[in-house]
Amino acid sequence: MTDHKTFRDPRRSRGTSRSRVANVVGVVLLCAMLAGCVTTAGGVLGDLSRSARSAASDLHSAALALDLYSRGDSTIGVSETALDDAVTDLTSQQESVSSLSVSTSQERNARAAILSRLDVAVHAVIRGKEALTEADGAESVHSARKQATRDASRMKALAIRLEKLW
Amino acid sequence: MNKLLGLALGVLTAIGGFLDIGDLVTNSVVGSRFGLTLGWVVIVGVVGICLFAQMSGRVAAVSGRATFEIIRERLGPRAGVANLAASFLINLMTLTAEVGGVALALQLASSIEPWLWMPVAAFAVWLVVWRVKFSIMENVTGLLGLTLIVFAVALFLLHPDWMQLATQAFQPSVAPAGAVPEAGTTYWYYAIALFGAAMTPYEVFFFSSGAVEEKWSIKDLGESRLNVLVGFPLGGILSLAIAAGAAVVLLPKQIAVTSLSQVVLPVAEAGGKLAIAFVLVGIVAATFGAALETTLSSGYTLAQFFGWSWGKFRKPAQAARFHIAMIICLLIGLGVLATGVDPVAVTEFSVVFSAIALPLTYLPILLVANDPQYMGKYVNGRVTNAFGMVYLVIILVASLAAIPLMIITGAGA
Amino acid sequence: MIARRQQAGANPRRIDARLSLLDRQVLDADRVPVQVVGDLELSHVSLDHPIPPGTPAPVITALLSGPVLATRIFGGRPPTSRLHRIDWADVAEIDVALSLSVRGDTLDVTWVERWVSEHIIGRIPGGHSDPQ
Repeated sequence: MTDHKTFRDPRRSRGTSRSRVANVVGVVLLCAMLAGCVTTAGGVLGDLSRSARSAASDLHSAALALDLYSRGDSTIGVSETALDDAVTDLTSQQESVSSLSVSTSQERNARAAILSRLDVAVHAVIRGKEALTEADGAESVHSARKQATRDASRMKALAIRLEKLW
Repeated sequence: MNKLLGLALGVLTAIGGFLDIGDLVTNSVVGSRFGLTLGWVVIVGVVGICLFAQMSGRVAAVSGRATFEIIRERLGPRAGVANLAASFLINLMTLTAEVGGVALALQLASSIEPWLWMPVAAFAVWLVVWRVKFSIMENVTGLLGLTLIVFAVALFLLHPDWMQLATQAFQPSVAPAGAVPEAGTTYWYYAIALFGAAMTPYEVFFFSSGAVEEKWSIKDLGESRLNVLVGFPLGGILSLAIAAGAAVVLLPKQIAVTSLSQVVLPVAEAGGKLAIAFVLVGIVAATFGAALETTLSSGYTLAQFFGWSWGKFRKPAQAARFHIAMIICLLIGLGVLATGVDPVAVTEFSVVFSAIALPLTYLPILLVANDPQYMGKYVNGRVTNAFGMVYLVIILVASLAAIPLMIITGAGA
Repeated sequence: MIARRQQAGANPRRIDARLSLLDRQVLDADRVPVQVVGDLELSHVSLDHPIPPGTPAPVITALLSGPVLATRIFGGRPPTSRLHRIDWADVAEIDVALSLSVRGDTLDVTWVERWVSEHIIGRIPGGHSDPQ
């Protein structure tokens, strides 16, 4: 430890603050460069396919929660919460997909397809959640689960098609 | 006989207290997307936390001083301030995630919205910090957290294809069969997240301050070594069980975990409602215990750096700034949660930022553990130092790679 | 910088002020933590002026804390009225931590602790109860 640490030379501090600013600028530039090679690439089609994958995951999750409940292997708390979480995620996918700006007709069609499927998906999961608390809900739970599984496969097929395009 | 019971208690609470919301969420996410191909990270993380918890405990037992007091003394105010700022902010983020985790777990148990549970959880955390004796607090949450063993039990009940799990674990470069394809950069991003979840920095402050709270001396070193070297690896095995359960139940259906409800689905599949009861008790206990530890850690870091009077062993009125700091931290955490942010998202960020802050929190421990002025003849042996240097490199690499990977992968999207 | 501690009847000890005094914990007569030493107040040293040769060595007059931490790291000096001082005369022992000969609540520097204790923490039920 040398003396000039305690008794600061004012001239030295001006020099160090300039190099500190340069460091910050360098880091910001580096981050900007890296943002260019993001894996969340593929443009609009990439975003849409990722949304479709997420939605398929939510639907499978909802189907599993419904299945566990109908087998008596899950509590109402866990299944209801799982379905709620699926709906929350599906609606946030809806929001992010609708806010995407599309340029080509291919993108426009893809976005429309996903949005309509997401709509179906949300309704299916909500119906499933209602079925949990219905008096004679066993049938409805079964059909909601089958519906969710079907919607999930369709979502996944859509995602795979989109992934081939970008 | 009493001695044996005491030892058993120590080990059991170490196991039960090992997991927190970061481990629960991150292991489950990783298992559902990468199978056990990131299992090796858990092992690296567990060895690392054993190493550093052992060192920080030894420092506290031998020198009678807690971590932050020594960091500022030994390394000067600049290093101390940098360390304090990083540690305190990460702590606060982790605290927020844990309180959120308690609320989410209570929602799973009751169907009541988590937003209503959050103030209750924060108040309960404060009340326990305020009134409950340190050792009782640790023992109760630790023992109740043992119910998380149900994750390991569930894995066996699922009759998994052990060969397939082993292949995933021992051939990490091959993507698991049936998984959604993931980019290599995403794999490494989650490796860092998992590493940060295992090497929780607050553990170190808490361990060393706890040693001072419970007035450890050199003769307690053997017991602490046992707790760490037996308890933590067993806790690590539970982490792997969480990931494996997700790999067996969720990965084949291509369910990517994004919420706490999905974390318990494999347990429900395996053992039904009884298993759910156990796992929910365990999750509440583990996250509540971690909330207590992060709250106390915020108090410890500030008080020890500034030289305030601190400790649960003192009357609150005689450690006033220590207690008011913790109250303010809980209020800040509650405030952040009240904005409606998803606690799971906070958790995922907190583990990555923990990894980023690791060099600042661990390097000082390594330095002090080697300082004969504080440690006398109990300085690090050559083996410990060898491991310590290897881990320093790992920690630096993880810390530097975290932010670029976060940008490139869109935070693991 | 070396400080020389004059102990009654004993040989004077030479200690390095930066190593042994700065950033050390200060404990009061009851071994309750008071503050960490942020800086040292020296007699007859003026900043920005070269010290003329033959000037007698400065003497430590007080332990400082508070805003001095920021100024010690980044430069500058707070006005005298803002310094949180513990008189050097109150220092009884220099070891791993510094011990004072007086009790903490007689010192000015502990006013924040006392204020928080009396007005906030002390008012919450259970604030004065022994946790053990």
